[in-house]
Amino acid sequence: MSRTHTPSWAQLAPHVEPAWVERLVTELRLQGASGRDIGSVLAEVEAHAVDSGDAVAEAFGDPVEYARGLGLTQAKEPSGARLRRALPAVVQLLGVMVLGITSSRPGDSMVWRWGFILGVTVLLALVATLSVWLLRILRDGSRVVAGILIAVAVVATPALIILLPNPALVTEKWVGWVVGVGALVIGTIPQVIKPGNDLDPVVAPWSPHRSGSRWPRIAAALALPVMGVVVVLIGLTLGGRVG
Amino acid sequence: MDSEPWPVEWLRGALELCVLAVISRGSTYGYAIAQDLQAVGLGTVKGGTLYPLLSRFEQAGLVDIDWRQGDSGPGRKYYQLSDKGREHFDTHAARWLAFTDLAAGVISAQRSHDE
Repeated sequence: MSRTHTPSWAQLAPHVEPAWVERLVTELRLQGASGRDIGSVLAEVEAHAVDSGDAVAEAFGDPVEYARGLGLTQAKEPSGARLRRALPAVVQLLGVMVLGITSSRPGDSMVWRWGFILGVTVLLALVATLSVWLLRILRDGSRVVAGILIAVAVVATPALIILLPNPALVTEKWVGWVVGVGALVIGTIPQVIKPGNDLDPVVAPWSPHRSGSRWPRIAAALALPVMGVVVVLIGLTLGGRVG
Repeated sequence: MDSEPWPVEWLRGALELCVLAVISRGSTYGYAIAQDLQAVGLGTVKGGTLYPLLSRFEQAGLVDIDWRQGDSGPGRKYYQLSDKGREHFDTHAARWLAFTDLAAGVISAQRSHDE
C-alpha cells in the first residue's frame, strides 16, 4: 500500500454524493460499526461508483437500509461496562455543581438544601442514563423518549432547587470544597491515566493499525475541571451578592 | 439469451452460490463479480444486493479479503474463497444441482405430458 495517511470519511468516497455518505456513516455509527469497518464500506462504495459510473442511490439504494443490510453491528457492550465508562464524567459533574454552590455561599458554614440534593441527583441520573442508553435510543428511533427524559430533567432540577429550600444538612464550608474538589479529582484521574484512545475515527482499510493519540481524550477529561474553575471564579465573584 | 429479467425470487435463491462460484475461480472484487454475473446472463446485480451478501460471507469466514490500492484508481477489496468457503460451496453446490435437477425433471415431465 503506497498511501499510509489516515483520510477522513469524506476523502474516502470523493465520487459519492456527500449527503448519501453522511447518512450511511451516521447509520453505521448508530449500528456500532467500528471506524475501520466504516472506512472499508466507504472505500468499497467508492470503488463501485467509480467502476460502474452509476449514481450511488441507484446502485445501492437507501443508505440506511444498505447500512443495516451489511450487518456490521459490533458485539453489544454490556450496560454495566457503559455505566462504568460514564461514571468518571458523572462524578466530575457532581464536583462542578458542588463547587458552584459552595463558592457562591458567603460565610463559613454551608446549608445543603433538599432541593439542591434532589436536583443534582436527578441531573446526574439523567446523564448516567443517557450515557448507557443513548445509542440504543437513537438506533431504535425512540428520540421522543430521549426528549422527554431531557425535558423532565431540565425542568425538574431547577424546580426542585426552588421548591424545596428546606435545609437537609448544615456543615462547615470546607466540606463543600473537599467534596467538590475531591469529586473532580476522582472523576478526572481514571480518564487521564487510562491507556489507549476511546476515539474510533473512520480510517481507510489499508491504513496501519494505530492506537491513536491519547491527547484528545485527556483534553476531553480536563474540560469539566476547567469548567469547575470557571464556576468557582464566578461563584466567588457573585458570592457576596447572592445566597 | 433471454433479455427479460429473471424473477427476483429465482435470483434470490441462486445468487449466493453464483457469487461463491465466481469467487472460487480466483481472487476478485465486487464490481468484477457483478460484471461476471451480468455477462453470463443473470442480469444486473446491484451493489445494494451484492455487498451485503459479500459482507455476510466475510463475517461467516467463507472468504478472505485483501485490500489492493490502485496507483491512480480507488482501493479495491478483493475476495478469495477460504477453505471453509470452498467446503461450503462444494456442499451447497452439489445440493443445489440435485435440487434443480429434481425441479427440472418435474417441469420437463409435465411439459412432455402436455405436448
